[in-house]
Amino acid sequence: MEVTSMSVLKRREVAVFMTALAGIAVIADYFLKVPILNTAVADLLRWGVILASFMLIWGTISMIRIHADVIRKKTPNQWYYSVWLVFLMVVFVAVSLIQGLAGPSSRWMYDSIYVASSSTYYSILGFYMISASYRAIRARSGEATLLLVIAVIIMLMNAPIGAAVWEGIPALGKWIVDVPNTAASRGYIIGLAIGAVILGVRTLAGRERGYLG
Amino acid sequence: MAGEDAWTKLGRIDPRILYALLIIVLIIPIITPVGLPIPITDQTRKTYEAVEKLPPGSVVVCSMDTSGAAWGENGPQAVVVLKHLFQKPLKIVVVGFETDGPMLGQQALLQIPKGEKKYGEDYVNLGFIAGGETARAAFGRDIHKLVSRDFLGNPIDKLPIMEKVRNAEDFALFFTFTSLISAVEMYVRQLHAPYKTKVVAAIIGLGVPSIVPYYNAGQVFSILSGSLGAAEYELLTKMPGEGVRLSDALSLSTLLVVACVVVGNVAFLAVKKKRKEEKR
Amino acid sequence: MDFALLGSFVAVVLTLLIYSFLYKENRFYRFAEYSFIGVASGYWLMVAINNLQSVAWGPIIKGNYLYVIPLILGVALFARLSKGYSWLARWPVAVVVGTGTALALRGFVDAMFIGQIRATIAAPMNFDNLLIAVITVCSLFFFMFTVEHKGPIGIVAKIGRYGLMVYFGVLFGNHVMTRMALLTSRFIEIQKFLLKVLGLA
Repeated sequence: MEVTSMSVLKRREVAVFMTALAGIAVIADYFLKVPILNTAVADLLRWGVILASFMLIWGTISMIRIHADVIRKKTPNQWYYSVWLVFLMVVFVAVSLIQGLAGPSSRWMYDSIYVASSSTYYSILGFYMISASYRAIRARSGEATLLLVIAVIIMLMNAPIGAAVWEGIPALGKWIVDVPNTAASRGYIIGLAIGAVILGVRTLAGRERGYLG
Repeated sequence: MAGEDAWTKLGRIDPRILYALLIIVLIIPIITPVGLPIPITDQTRKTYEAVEKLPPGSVVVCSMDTSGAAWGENGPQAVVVLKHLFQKPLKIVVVGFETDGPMLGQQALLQIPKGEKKYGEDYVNLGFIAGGETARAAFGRDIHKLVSRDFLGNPIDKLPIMEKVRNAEDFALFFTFTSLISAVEMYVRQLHAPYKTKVVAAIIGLGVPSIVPYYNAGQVFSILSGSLGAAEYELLTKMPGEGVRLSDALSLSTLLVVACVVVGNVAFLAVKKKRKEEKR
Repeated sequence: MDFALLGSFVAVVLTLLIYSFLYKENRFYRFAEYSFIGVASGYWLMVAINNLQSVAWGPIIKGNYLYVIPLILGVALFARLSKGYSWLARWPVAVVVGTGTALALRGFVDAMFIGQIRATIAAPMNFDNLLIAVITVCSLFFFMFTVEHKGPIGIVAKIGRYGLMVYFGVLFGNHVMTRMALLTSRFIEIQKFLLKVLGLA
């Protein structure tokens, strides 16, 4: 089989090699004070920032493609929502191009539509939380009871009125956060760090290739 | 038996009744504030005193690593901290490493009195910098080589404030207003570890338990805990705002949740006990 | 026209439409959902373009032509759209992953691994710090799934498990605070709008 330079470039190993090269350069930069290496890595970091912007653009384009497909196929009960979505997107982009992202119209759309909606989405869980507190948080076992008791103490600590319920709540809550909570989450952080280091080394060594798609 | 039915019914209450109760409990203190006392935590006091003690001309960076979703908690924090910073002879740099950062930062800046501070001389909004941890590392290393324009499109080398601000070694204090535990961890790794930058984590309440180990290890300078942290800071700076407004409703709604947990479990245990007795 | 009032009105309407989901999913909720995604995608696109102008275009205008390379690599991402050249899209991803992974590796070892262990070991000797050290070690044992949790290891892992239950309890307690604060801030926005409309603000 004839091997052309193009077919060599297409191989996944080329991308894996690029990952390893970038990674080794960044790690070497941490330990070595070599001006040419340090400058190259500083540039590499800025290239990463530029590429991240392209990834954001790519994400938006991917989403538009999906909705364009829905509109083209006129998917029942769906396509008119997609038309509205694309319309709002185009309006926002147009307004931002004319007045700038910091302009009054783009800020108006951002505040009244985007911020209002996203904070509402995040807050809606409050209702489900109260339902879960009543119907799901049950003292079914020793561990569940411990979780429940700790949660109640912390909730009372966080509510300014908690000290009025029992004056020892703030001090007890603070001790729980500073001692057993710190200890357990520290164990979790150390475990996470070990896992992340192993995954990172495997990625740079080319053993993990899932990111290549 | 009637008693059994009552406990079982109590354990299976319609969630819409709970939603209605929650709405009532939230609305009442908003309409008629109760004014419940708010104890000040050591961490908030430490943050306040750190700002008070900063020498004139110190550079403070406020990184908006939050989103519109979490602005309900991060917003009051950002507004009161910025108000405090603007009262002092400090240089303030606003930046965002999450997409919503620059717009929310701009919104916060528009809400506060500027006094004699001028844009470009005393404060600047550098806008959004994509790239997550890579962007934060590059920012700490050399801002001028990373960013050429601010959020409003001005070249940064033409802004007087940026003459003094080149990299993380110039930051006297670094605030991150965030909903992400990972954002605080990135600053610990990319700013505190190499440059010993003092990072103040103004994080939503949900993230505090995971950040406390870093605070106790001295890797995070201080923590502002959610809207309560904002309320405490507002009281310290004598500028009551949204944080204090939120605290009454927070108290009462939290009491409601505690009551739900207790009543729900009492019903559960009562039903469990009855079933055990029936089996005998 | 008072655009601020109109903006508040739009925000309140969207809030109520989204809350209608609590009853059941409906077309009004979907309208609000798609409105949010439409503006969000426009915003993300513009913020990315602005970032490119600042980080990439600025240096190129000043004569640093090396920055053309990441621009080319970035455009290569869109090669995914082509069946014959989609392999090009791996290259920018490779650079980003390599850089980001190595950066994180440097930081994880120093700040999260050594930093946390140092904080545990070097803390002053008192009951609280001793307890922290014990529970930290026990929590780590809980995550060791390569040995069976029996006998002494079982006891240690059980203590770790209880420690983690405390952590989850604290997380839940704080989670309640966050959600209630966010709910309250939405209700405050609705109140502000009503006061404006009634002329009481």
